[in-house]
Amino acid sequence: MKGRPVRGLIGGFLLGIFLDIDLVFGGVVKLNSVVLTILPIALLVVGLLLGLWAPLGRSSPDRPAPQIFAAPAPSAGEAASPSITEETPPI
Amino acid sequence: MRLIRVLIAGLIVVGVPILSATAAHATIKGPCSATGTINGKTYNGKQASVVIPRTGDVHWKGAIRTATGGKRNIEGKVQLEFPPPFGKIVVANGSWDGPSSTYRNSGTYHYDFPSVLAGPKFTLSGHHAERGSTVCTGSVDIRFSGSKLKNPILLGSLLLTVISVLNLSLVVRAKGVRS
Repeated sequence: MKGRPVRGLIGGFLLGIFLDIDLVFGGVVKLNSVVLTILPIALLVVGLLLGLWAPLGRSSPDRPAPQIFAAPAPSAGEAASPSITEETPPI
Repeated sequence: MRLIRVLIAGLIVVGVPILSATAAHATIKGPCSATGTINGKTYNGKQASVVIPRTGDVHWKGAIRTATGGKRNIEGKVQLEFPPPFGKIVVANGSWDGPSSTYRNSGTYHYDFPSVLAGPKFTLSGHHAERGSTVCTGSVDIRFSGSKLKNPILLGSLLLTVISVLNLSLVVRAKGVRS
């Protein structure tokens, strides 16, 4: 699994632009407000970071997955028989 | 993870009002006076913000009180302010310069703006310079009368904002693993 940094970056920037339009046309901020400049850039960065971190709370992909079921050590009589961890062909 | 979400939400809730809060605008600074009359209502230099009709004729007057008279070089502009990096643009015929012996002026200006401009707050600023030095500055916040909620640009933008939020929420989801 891996994130979507480019999509996050573009999505964040577009969200910033649309929020800018909402704020201006809703009369929340003045047309010359510096918020209108900061918001798209800030959300661009937030989108990029969210994309890099996605999915939130995942473990590192480089770390090997923990082995839940350990194969028992084969005894002398079972040495010839296939291990349960080996792949068996479908019947 | 919950803490990060709470922190981000807190930053948005607290940050936007802090960043959008600006000092109260001074109106006219210097020995100048200016008035505008629209549909019989007079707006003067003491008003920091006004709501005016979208369409109308403004009967404007401007004057400067100075001890010296005679002909001198003057320069001035009335500009509409945009956020950085866009700066300011001169509105209509709001620019003057050159040698002049006039110390007061008046006129009528007709304006007609579309209904989609009802809602935004515009800042108009101006200055007047005599003999190369600025003697008067001023600004006023203007909003056109009309309903914001009937503005198609605002409605369309709100819809696109919701779609953008959904898109951004999908960004943080895991990609499906295909074998």
